[in-house]
Amino acid sequence: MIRSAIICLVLFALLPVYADTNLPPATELLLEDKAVFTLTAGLQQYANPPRFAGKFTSIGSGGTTTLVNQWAAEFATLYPEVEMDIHGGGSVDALPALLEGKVDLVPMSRPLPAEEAARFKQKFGYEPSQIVVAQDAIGVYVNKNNPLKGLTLTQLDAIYSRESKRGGGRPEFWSDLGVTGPLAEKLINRVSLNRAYGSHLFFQDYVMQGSDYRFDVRFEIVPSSLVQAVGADDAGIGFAGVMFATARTRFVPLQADDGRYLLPSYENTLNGRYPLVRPLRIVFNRKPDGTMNPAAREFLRFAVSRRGQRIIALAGSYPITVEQQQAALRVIGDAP
Amino acid sequence: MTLAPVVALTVLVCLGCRATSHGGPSPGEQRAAQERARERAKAAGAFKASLATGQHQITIPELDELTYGYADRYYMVISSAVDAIKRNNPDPAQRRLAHQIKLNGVLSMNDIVSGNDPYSEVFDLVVAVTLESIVLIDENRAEQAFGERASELIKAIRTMRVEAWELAAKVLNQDQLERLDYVILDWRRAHPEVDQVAFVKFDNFAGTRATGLLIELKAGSGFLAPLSEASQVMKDWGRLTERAFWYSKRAPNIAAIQAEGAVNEILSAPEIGSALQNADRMGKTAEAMPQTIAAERHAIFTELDARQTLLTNTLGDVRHIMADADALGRTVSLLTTNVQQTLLVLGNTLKVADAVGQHFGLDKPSPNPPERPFDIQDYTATLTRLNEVVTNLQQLTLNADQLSRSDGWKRTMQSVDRRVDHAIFGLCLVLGLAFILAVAYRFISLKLERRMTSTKQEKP
Repeated sequence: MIRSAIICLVLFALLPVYADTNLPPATELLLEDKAVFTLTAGLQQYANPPRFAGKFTSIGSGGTTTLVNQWAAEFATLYPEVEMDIHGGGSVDALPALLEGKVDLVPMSRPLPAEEAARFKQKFGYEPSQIVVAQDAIGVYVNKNNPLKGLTLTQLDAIYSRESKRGGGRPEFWSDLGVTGPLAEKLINRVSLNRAYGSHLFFQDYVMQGSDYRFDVRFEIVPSSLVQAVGADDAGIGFAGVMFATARTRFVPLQADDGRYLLPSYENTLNGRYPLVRPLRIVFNRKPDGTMNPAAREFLRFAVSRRGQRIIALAGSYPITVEQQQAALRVIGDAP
Repeated sequence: MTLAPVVALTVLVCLGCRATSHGGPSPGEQRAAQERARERAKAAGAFKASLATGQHQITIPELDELTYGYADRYYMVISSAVDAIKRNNPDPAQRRLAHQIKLNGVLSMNDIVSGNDPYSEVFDLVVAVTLESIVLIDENRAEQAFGERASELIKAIRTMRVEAWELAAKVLNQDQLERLDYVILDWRRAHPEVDQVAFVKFDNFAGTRATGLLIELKAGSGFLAPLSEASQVMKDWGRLTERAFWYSKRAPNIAAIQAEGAVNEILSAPEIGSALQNADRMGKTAEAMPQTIAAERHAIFTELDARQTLLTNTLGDVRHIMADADALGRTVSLLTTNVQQTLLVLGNTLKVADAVGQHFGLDKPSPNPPERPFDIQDYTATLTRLNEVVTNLQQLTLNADQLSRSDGWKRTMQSVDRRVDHAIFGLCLVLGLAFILAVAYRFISLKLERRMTSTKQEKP
């Protein structure tokens, strides 16, 4: 009797694993328009002042700057007099510029490093401000014809890292990852984004535990090219934000802490169960009395508003929650 | 006044000599061309060396060389992939679509590369190739259109996209590349209905953030070497000539592709398609004609055999019917003869009866007895005649029996049944009458015998 109960429990626990490895195309995980409007319905609407002028500069992570550009296009129609200087290229060089006062906003796709925060505090005497402007998950992409059912973080580390600190060995062929069929004897073609992207560093720090990338990893200069490389190659694998999903790719379920294999869906991203979740942030300089660049403040208020969140969600990103919006508005504050 | 035509003729001849001298390059032009070639080789060598060191700002001639090389390579790679799709492909729609992809792509590349603005060329080139790769690869339209044959085209398009971005990376910095990528994706999301993306140019993004990006690049940012305006104008003329020469060399290829495309277009028209289908159907019919004829001949002969058998059977039946009819005719004839004989016999019998009646004075109301004495031979003759009648009647019965057994009789019996019955009935009446006459004759003869006996007793 007890043995039967245990078997039933094991089968019940395995059920979501196989349900999740049903191999849907990557684009099916993107939010539909109706879902976007439902999810953002509770967010506070943006109340714009009648006329506004000013200038701000934004330099940061390529992925998050993509969102900044989407907001900027709409923001420019509201405030034609506002001059926006927006650049990507990575947040590595942007944080020193923030310390020098040359940059107002630093979009980041990884948490602010502690040493950078300490350096900021050392110079200004207060912590740098940061808000979450979007939810994001790093999806592991494979070709739509790839039958791989799932990966652990140990396997993922072994695929990309030179040292394989998690102890996953050195998989070279797809058969080493449990793949059978025609793909089994093909070499794994690894693709990654270059250092300008936060996902490159996030993956290196979190998944590879600081190890270097293998020599045979091919680095792409833009995320859309990375996803396309996987879509054009049966033996390819790569990782990038969920918003770049295409019809020729699918996401690989990753093993979560509870042992289940999960896809980077909105729900799994929001509840944090998917292993590679990363809230997209914007770091900025706001004095304790609330003083900051007014144009940058207005831009941030617009970004976290219902209108701003719908813009990025309709383009494929995951919007923030009501709680995250309220927290962001508290950090941004009103003009003193 | 008379010298004017001579002067004019001299001028025309001189002009003609000048014009004909353009048939081959002059020594000065040759020197200039060699100088340009040396400059180009020198620039290319310096460019390669700078790439090796990683410190380089690309110049316009270098960029021209790269874009020319890219366009030629695009033609080669895409043509090979498209030819692979078209090779042994029975589907005309797939062949036409594949050729259209090649034609549009090559035309677009040549149009871009032969432009006059090297900055815009790079943007246009990246935009066209990236959009093409998004449509054919990311949106999976190549596989939807060509099935398993799409793999070569997907590889080719992917290769050319990678090379286009590598080319752009020589001119744009990382931030500009990211923004360009975003601008292209943003445009595609806003225009998912556009299929012919090979001719979309960077200028189509006007009004978006792309405008600022182009202005920024023209200002000399990124990896493009800044040029003074004066040197720019000086070199524009040389580039224009060079582009015209480059384009004219590739014009025949483009014309050939266009011609093939036109043929495909014509062949894929509904009317032509219908005609081709008819021709194909006719060809198939012609191919199948011998088999059809053989089959039809076999069917015809089989039918003839069946009909022959049926005809033979019918003729047999007819023959039987004829035989039956003949037998019937003979029987009827015999019957008629017999009836005639019977009637003749019956007439004779009646004559005999008349004679008997006359002999005994029965036909006279006079009570006087006949004068002729009784003669037994008369009775014998009458009985003989009666015997003949009975014999004939038996013969008639036999014949009738034979007649009734024949098939022809059965089929014709119904039509003559009534007459035969009537004849038989009449015959029976005759026989009955004959019998009555015979009985009456016997009775009368007995009466006469008694009378004669009584007369003899009265005359002793």
